[in-house]
Amino acid sequence: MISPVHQPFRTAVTRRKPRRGLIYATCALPLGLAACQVPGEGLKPPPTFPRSLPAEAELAPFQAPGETLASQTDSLADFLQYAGSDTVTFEPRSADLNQAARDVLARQASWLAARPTVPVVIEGHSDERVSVPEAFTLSEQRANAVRRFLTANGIDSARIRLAAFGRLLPRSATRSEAGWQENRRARTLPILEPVQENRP
Amino acid sequence: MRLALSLLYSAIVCTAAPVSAQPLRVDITEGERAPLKISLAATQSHAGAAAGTAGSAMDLLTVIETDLASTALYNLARHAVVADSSLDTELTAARSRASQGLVWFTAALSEDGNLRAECSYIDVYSGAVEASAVFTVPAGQHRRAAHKCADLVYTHTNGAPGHFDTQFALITDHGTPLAPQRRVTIIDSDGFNPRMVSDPAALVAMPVLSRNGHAAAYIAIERHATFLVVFDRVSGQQKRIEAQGALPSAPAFSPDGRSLLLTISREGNADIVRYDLATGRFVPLTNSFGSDTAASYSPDGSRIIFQSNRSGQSQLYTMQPDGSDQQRLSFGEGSFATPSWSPRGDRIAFTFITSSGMQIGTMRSDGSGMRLLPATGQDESPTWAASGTLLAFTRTPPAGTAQLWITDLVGKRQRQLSMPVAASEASWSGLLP
Repeated sequence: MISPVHQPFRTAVTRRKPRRGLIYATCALPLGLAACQVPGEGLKPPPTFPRSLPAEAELAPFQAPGETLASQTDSLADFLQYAGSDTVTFEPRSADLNQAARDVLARQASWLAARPTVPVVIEGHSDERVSVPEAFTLSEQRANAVRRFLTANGIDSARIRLAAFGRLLPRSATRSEAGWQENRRARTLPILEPVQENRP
Repeated sequence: MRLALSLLYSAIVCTAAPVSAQPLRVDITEGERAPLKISLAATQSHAGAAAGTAGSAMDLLTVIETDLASTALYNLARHAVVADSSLDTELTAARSRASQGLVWFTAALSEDGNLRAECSYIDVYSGAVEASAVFTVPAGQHRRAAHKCADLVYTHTNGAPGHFDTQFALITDHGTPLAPQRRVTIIDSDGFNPRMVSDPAALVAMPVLSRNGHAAAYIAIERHATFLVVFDRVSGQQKRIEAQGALPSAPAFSPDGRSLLLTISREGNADIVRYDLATGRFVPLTNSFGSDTAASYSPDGSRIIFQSNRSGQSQLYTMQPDGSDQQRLSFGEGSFATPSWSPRGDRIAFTFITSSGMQIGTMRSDGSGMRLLPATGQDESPTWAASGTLLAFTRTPPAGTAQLWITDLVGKRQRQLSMPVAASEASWSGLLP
């Protein structure tokens, strides 16, 4: 059972992940403090932690240089956790949504409906078993199938932008049916603004 | 005995009669001819030229030799480049080698870096100059003089245009399959002089060159926005064109280079439009359910060929340049994609796709006479040489990255255009002016 999300989006961006908090807590313990601060070395800069969580390797969207998405991590992780997946897959040469895809998209729609200001990009992709030009049009059809489902489930179509990648960005490099199935996909990507340092 | 013979004769005639009623039809699909024996000689054109000129002439003679050798039509004998050699000396040498023709190449560098080259094809026995031309090429493009000379020899000895002074626009990938770094790269037909022309920030696809090589176009995706980039290679100007809120793909220049065919995807439907470069107007050409894409012109611009899955699987169709008179061209098992009309107008090359993979095929322009070329990987996206005798295509081996391959029309002679990185989606220009 998935509870509806009532938290406003901004809160979700700035909320600290429990894992990070756990590390701070460890350092705050007397034993942990010794590990964090060696006497005589002067004050160390505050500890830094990798911004990425293990699951994000898969989560990382196509990112052109200059496009800052690192600070959106927490909410993308939220989205992923809530919807179960950001990605749905398709049969060869098809843009039809199967039941598993509809289930995932219904949860995505629910998450997005609770954040009406968040724009969304839907990326469509193809496997390498169709010609280059058809892979492009097919991936647009897949992205469009997801858009139609989301708009039918209450998401304003003005929030949604499509990007068709054809065969350009495979998720699997394995040249087998298993690999191709992973690549026949559409991915929903909430575009979250980076956190502003001086935001009141 | 005589009766027996006559009965046997009658039997033969009667048996043969139904066969001889059919007109005999011989399809010549390939042939061998004795290579033409040609000598190649070069010299610097005047004593005042820099010492490097002779070296340059030698290098350029190598380019001519490599170009001509790639056709397997010639038995080539290359003479040493001698600074003070004369045509008479070289003709005598060519006769002693029993060559039928002599290619005489002279090159001189001017002070501004331009190379002035003269290329002649001489009949060895009569000593008559049968074809000759002077080429002046700017600094940095000296190899083009050699390519032009090879084209002159090819045209003179075959009666058909060559394909050496041409270029490819293609995608080079400097990353990995899961983290691609794709660039639109323009290279000479022999793989030399690579120049990357696309912005590294953009994910790029489907590059095309105009017939005269003066313009390139490709699709770029940047920050999830998709647009057509048209690059004027003469002025260096780049134009980014958005497709009215839809996603553009599969550009192809008109023969005169003034407009582009383009696929526009909108709400799950893909149709072909013509985009006029001067006015910026989009003119819709198809309006069918399904994906109409990969459109390109016949060499005279009188027809457009494209692929469409309106009947289920992707098949080839043709239409008038205004979108009327749409006719299906391909039938049968499997699907057909990425059609391209031969510069001679007689054949169409395509990617043939079945459950077992992709291979290159050609058919006559009326859809008959389909011929498939042997594939050793996933072979796709053919593009014609200006001569109409070769096709370049993308071959992705079962293990390994995509590379550009060049084949004759029967698949007998295939070679890889060696590139240090993955290469795909090539578009071959016509002969450069």
